[in-house]
Amino acid sequence: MTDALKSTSVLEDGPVSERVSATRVAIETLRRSPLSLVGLVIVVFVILVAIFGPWIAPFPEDAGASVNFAKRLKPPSAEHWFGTDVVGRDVLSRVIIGSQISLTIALFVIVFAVLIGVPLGVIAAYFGGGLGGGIMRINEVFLAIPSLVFVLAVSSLLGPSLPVVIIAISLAWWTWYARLAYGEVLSIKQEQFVEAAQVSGASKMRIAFREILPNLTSVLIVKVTLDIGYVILLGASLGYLGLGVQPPEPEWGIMVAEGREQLPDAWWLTTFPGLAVFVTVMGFNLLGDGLNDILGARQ
Amino acid sequence: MTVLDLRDVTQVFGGRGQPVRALNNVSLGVSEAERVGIVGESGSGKTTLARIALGLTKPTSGRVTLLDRDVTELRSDHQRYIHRHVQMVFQDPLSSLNPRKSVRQIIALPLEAQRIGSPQDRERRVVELMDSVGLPSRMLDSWPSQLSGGQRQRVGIARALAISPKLLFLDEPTASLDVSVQARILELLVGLQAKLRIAQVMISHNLGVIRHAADRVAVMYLGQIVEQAPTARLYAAPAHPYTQALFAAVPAVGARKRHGAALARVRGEVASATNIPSGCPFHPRCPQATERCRGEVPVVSTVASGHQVRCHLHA
Repeated sequence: MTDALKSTSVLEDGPVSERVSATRVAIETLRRSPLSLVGLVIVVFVILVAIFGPWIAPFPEDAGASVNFAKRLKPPSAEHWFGTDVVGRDVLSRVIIGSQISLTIALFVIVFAVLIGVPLGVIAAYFGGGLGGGIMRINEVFLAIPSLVFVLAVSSLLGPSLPVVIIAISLAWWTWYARLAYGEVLSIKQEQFVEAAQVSGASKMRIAFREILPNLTSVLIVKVTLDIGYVILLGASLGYLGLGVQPPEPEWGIMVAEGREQLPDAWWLTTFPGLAVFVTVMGFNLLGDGLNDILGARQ
Repeated sequence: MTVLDLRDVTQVFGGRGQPVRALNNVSLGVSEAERVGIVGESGSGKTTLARIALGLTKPTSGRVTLLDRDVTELRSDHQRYIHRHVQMVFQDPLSSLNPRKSVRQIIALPLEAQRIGSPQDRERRVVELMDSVGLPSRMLDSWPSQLSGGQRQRVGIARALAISPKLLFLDEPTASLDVSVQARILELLVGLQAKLRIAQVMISHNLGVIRHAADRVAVMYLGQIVEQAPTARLYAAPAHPYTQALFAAVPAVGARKRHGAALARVRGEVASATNIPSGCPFHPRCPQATERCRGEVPVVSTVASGHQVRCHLHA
């Protein structure tokens, strides 16, 4: 290196901005926004309950079609915290194991929706033209149908079951990811680094998926977190309407529907599965809002 | 040997309605290891010129020759050829660096995208480039947001140099930096050019920067090169009234009188590229305009060796 180059050492350009680690920002934000911390605790709790459900549940055999008429419609007690249902099954055990169904639906739906929607949205926005227009028109057709109506139609057509519920909700849900990715990419592709990548000789596919796509991670993480709650809600609605997962599966929506006939006397049959839906959806929402603050602030 | 040769390049945007004539019959050659400066106000066509030379835009008419190969048509093999030999340093060092990529990934991108060398070769090359732009190698894993403006521009320069281009475009490389940092980046560019002997075209509206960074200067006005000369000659004896006005408009210490006089010399605003004046495009603002300037487009005339002017006063 020549002396002329040495004299232009970087040290004269001023100090490197202090490295603010992502974890420190996250901790700080969580501290300032206790609600997102509540959300995080709920989400972690629900996930742990779902994973260890069969071991936590006091009467795991009650998740299925077991019958014990001697213990029929018992109110909450020390033995059955959430009471028992019309055939004497432990409601707490069913709520605990039911979390597996809700989270399974949410997980698969979100994975499918992201895998289908995001690449289509990126392609539509970056390549544009007839291909992009076509993708977005199809997307708008799907968007025009209310998702519950669409899912009901698919489910009654194919016959209700867990895989059908997942497929039906995924088909309704990818459109949101396509739209989100489309909008984001439209704005990101104006950035100079995209032109710099072109000048560097990067192919269009490489620019779209390896230069632009990584810039979508924050918005996608936030969207996914919020959506898990909505998908759980939709799955429970389907169960409630009898077009989702079928009895005797301990699905929260089904449990609310079954308990409806026993209201108001056996209030615990609807209240606890309903609360489970409410708390889980709220947890994911609070966490999603918190993540929005954390990831948004970093940009 | 000529690295880049633009011949009668015209660029018109937006066919129907109000076409914008961004470039009008521009001819410019860049020789090996030559440093060409392009000055002109916003909207004079500097950036369009760079985009054409970089293979990002196809000119409406004219020829583009890169290293004896005609690359006017925007075919993918032409673009590959251009990207293999021409690189660019961008104006905004933050926006031109991908915020989701580390310094290492950013500098290696041209090598990876064009599949040059093995992963080990690329890694060695990146470390070498960091050194030659004066960045410590501990910054390889930093993100652009963690760097200062000057450091970011050094990363941009390293990326442009990665594939050892034959021609480097610099679009206002110092315009968005602090004045103290500007000087150091300019020093770095001058030093690198002396060492690597890459032909370069620097676009700027800063006459002070161009004076240090160019051997030859082209002055653009409304899509035309109105004057071209070796730097020393242009700064000593500007021939075109527009160039004279540009120099006179540079504020100088202890030259208050001259400055005041200069402001009086150029009237009005730059005309819009959608409605370029007839005759010489500069005539509505030119203090020396005559009847001829209003009606007749001036041709290029040579006033001295290597010094060309597009003005009736010198015809």
